[in-house]
Amino acid sequence: MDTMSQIIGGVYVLLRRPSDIQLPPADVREGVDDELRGRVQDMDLGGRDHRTETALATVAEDDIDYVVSVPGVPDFEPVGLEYGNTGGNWYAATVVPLSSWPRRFSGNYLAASFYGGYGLSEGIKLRLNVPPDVAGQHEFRLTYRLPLLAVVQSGERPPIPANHLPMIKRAVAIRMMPLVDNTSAEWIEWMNRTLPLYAALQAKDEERWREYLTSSVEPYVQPIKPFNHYRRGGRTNARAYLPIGGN
Amino acid sequence: MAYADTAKVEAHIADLLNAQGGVWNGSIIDARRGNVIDSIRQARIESGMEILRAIARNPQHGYYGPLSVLTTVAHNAFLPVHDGEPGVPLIVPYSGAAAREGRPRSPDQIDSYRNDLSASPIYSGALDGAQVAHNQADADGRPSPVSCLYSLVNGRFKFTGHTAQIPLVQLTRAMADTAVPETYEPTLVKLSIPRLTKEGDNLAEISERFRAWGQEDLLQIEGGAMKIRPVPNVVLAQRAGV
Repeated sequence: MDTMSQIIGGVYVLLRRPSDIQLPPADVREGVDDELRGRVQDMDLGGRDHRTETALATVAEDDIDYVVSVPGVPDFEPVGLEYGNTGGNWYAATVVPLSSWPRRFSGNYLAASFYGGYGLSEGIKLRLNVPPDVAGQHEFRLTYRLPLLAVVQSGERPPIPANHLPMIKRAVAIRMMPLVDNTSAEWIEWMNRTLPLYAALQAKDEERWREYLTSSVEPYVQPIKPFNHYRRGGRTNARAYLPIGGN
Repeated sequence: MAYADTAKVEAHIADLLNAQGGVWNGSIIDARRGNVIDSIRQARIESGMEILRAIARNPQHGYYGPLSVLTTVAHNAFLPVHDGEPGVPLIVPYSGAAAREGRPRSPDQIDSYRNDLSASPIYSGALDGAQVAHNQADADGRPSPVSCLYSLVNGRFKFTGHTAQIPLVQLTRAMADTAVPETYEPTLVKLSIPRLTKEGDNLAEISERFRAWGQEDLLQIEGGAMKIRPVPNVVLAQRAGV
């Protein structure tokens, strides 16, 4: 997988290696970041969820609530919470809005409410409807979304599938062409000659990108229940159930 | 390649100037000129140097190659003293490789390529993130993509690669005796005659014509001409007794 440095190097190659005075690497990095932000937004607007991950979370007691953190992930948006005993099954906690907490905290299920966030120095806070000693007996697994896109550092990999990186390089090369500090007739002639070629190649890549965004590995039609399913009995309650309090 | 026969050229000059003692006891004799042979030789040498400088100004001239010497020049150094224009540098891309013709770039490009960072290369790491420095071979033994480039601005030479040699013409006085092409012997004569006329000679008109022809030859030589017009007959006779 290419790193950001390689992407930037690729952009320089596509522009016939201008000097780092004619085109400062920081400018190219900004161009790559801008391009990636757009692409990440494309992915967010698509049907797939590209930014959600699940990892073991640390839930530390904090006043009457908890602070939830994921090692190595400074910023995230919580989406879901699971709990379980070590080596046992995972059960989904019911995530409820903090505003509706008074109506939900007394259910016989594990209710969790996230609040706080990036703006607080403490980070994401978590309210649970179990006392600390009970919570301490469980492990927690957090499903979270990564933030849209932080500035990608040089050694990091861009948050784009590797097959689409040539498109990013070329798009940034086209974006950078007017910024190369070169007014020579030779450069202008080269740009005029090269831009249509790059644009044609880019059009093909953009087509692939759209195909990628709109295609899915999931089946087109979700399984549906038969029309008489209610007669078959066995209606199930999929709601999470926490065996706390002897229930 | 044949080079000018200096003795014959000097004899021709003396002949044209009627400066050979006892041949034509006219207005100009060697005694009147003093040590005329030395004067003619000096004029011939100065003219020869003029021809060599004209050749040196054109690296595409047929005689530029034999005149020039491959001179090693360090990066960021000024070119050593030379005549005319430098030729295309030969650059060894990495230690042990064969030299290649350099390709021109701007000085800041050369500096950028030489200062590419190994931790985050932008000029050679697009494939695998591994830098191939300007003077190193890549994993396959091929030169760095930024090698064999040079810039030469205001006499300062910069290059990428291991070492560089530049064809330079560095003229010496001795080369006027040995390195002036035979084909330019008439130009030697044409350029020497105006150098030998003195006040009191009745040769102004003749020497002016030779000077014009000589300058015309020099322009053609600088343009790469390998053949010039022979010394024409001067029909303007000197007035005897002047």
